[in-house]
Amino acid sequence: MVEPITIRCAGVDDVPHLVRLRRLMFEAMGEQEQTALDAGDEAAAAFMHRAIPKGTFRAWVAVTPEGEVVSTGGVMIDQHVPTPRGPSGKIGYVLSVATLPAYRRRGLARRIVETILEWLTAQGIRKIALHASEPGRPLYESFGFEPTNEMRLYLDEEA
Amino acid sequence: MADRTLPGAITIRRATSEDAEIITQHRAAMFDDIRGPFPPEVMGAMNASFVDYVRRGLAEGTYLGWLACTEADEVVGGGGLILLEWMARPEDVDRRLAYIANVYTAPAYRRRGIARRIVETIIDWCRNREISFVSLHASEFGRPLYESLGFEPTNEMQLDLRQGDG
Repeated sequence: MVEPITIRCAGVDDVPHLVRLRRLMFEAMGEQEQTALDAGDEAAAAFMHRAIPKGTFRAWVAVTPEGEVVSTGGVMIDQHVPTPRGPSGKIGYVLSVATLPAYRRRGLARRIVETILEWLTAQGIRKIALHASEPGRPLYESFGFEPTNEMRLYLDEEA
Repeated sequence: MADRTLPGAITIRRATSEDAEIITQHRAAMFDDIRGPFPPEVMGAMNASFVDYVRRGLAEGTYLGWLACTEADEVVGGGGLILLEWMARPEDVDRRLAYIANVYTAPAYRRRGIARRIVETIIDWCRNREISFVSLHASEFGRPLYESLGFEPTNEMQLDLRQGDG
């Protein structure tokens, strides 16, 4: 059976869809503060409108034959510090991977992540990072992603 | 100009682009300590790329460095900070992510709290500049220091497609 849902690269016209599914991702991860979500939507939209034409953020959407965007995923290329095994210092940072609840368990996120990995490989970028939610972890493990030794300090949550 | 005085008359100063070579040496020594030794051609390729990257970054302000120096002006340790563009999240709408790198102390100067003072200096700098969080990748040696400063592990995952290429 032919999968009727197609994956295509997102343009600025897709920003409302990308933002809508990104919000869904944060809601699924437990964010409930509506004002924080609204502010996040606004800032993400502004970022995408700036970064998509510049090429510093690239996203893909899964679209039904009716044209509905049902799954998304994006990548930013960070100029990181060169390392022994990665002398360019460039890292693909994968983000905003989300699928509408009614379209889950069909491998759409997998197809989007595969597309992102193929694109990064074509760009010569071989090191890829992301922050995985619990539901997302098995997908990323199946691609060979491994937990890192990253640590963070939040400066504005301190008493 | 020294902004801090340490025991043994070691001071911490900001790095300039003229310090690119010593920062590169520290970085290579750090990687050799953590998971080396690396083949000379591998380390040489990183050093060649890194020295240009850090010289430009120090000049343009995208890489910030702090160095620990003796009274004889010998550089015996240091640490760096890079500022990354970060897509807004609900909890931090228009803040930036800062990434700490290259925290290193020469073997003869370890166990004196130099790395701690360097990292505290970097965190103070971030605190004064509306940076919402700092991240780093901790070696086993560095982890206790970062934990004591309040750093916590994250859910980051990475894939290196070079693995298996030999």
